Amino acid sequence: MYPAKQTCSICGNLLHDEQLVGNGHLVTWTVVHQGPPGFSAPYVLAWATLDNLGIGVLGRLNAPPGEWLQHIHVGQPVSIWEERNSTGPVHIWMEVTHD
Amino acid sequence: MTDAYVAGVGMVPFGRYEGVNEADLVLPAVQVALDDAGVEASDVQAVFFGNALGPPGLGQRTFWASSLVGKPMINIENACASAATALVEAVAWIKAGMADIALVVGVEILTGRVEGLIPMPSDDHYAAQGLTLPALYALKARYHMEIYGSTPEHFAQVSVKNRRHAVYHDMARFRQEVSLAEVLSSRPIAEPLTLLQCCLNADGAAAAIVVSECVARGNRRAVRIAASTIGSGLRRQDIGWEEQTLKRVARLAYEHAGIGPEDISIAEVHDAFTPGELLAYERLGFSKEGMGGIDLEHGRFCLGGKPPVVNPSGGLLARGHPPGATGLAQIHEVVLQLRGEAGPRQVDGARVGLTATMGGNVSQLETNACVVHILTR
Repeated sequence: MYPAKQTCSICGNLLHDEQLVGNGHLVTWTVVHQGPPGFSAPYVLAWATLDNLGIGVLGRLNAPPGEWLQHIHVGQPVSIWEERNSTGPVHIWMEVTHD
Repeated sequence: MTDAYVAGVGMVPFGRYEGVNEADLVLPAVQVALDDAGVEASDVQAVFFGNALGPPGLGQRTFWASSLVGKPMINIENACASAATALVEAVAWIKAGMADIALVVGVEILTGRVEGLIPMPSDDHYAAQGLTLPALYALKARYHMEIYGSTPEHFAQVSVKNRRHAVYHDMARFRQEVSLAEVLSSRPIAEPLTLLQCCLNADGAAAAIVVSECVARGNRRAVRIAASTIGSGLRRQDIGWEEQTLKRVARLAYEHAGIGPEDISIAEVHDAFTPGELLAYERLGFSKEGMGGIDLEHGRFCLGGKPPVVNPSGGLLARGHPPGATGLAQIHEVVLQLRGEAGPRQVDGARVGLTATMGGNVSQLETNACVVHILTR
């Protein structure tokens, strides 16, 4: 289940934790100019499918917005990974890789 | 089972009110609705009170000094669809014979409490990635652009149209036209969306009196509620960016009303951000899949054009958006239009009207709530 849940909503069983890491493909994206508190805008926010888990995830691209955005497209390959700290939420990052 | 009718509507202009509480906005709107329906507060048998972000027990807090005291009073929170959901509940009570006269209210005091973006809950996984409500709509827009070839101009044109409509609406917050160039060159919020494609946070209240067939009999200004349908959003994970919820709920509404999209004269839809309206053209069946922007570019959905006219009131973009009140402001416009009382923005021969209200920021889902009403003469 994404986002992560500790128990299954249907059977109540405990779920195990999966790392969100691997290759994926972009579905949609936007350059956010006005973000929530604590975010330094502009940044590129994107939804991509993660191939190994077959799920869609939301995360930030790890490059500042620029001319390169003109050349990306639906299905653009990306690598995806997560950043976990002992406190605070999981952050998901993406990087454009080559076709 | 009896049909339900809207016998009266009332609202206060939406905007920024300093130093007021919810009751200060609700009571005048309710009085207008009661007068419009020709009933007294003491005739009301149940109250359905929509609000999104205010304190609990708001219906009782508002009406404790009125003759509504002691009546069934039900507070309803369903994000931006709170007032529309309150209407769904009132219609159900009327149809079930539990009341013959119901009061429906929607209210929000937003300014002074929330400035700028409406915040997401702090433990929301998506908010932690930097998602905002305009960014969510921007992601929908970009998907549509990539798949169907719509352009930033198509989305911006929604604002141009709605602001043009609002010139003729005395209750609208913004009554000046804006050009396509002005919309596109306003401050970027989440690309392709610019500031003038985002509705304004507002305070406001709206009310409606809903009655049974026997009360409505002989009242030529009563408007029949032909469908009152509600759903919640499907999981984003399951549906991707196809945005199916409105389509699903609208299909049910058309089925209940026994009509189709081609019968709709006017529609008030949820243009909190411009992609909301453009996608609604397609989900409501006014446009073919992917053709919403092209149809708008060709002059459809505008006052003076062929039906359906979409957001003749100017929509949320021009009216301002008090989340807990918006759904009833949409009903207000449709009722005036169907009665032929919409003045300079009257759509000739309007016979069937639709409202579509979306609400929510539970971002695992496409939307918290989606409500569609169809009203007929």
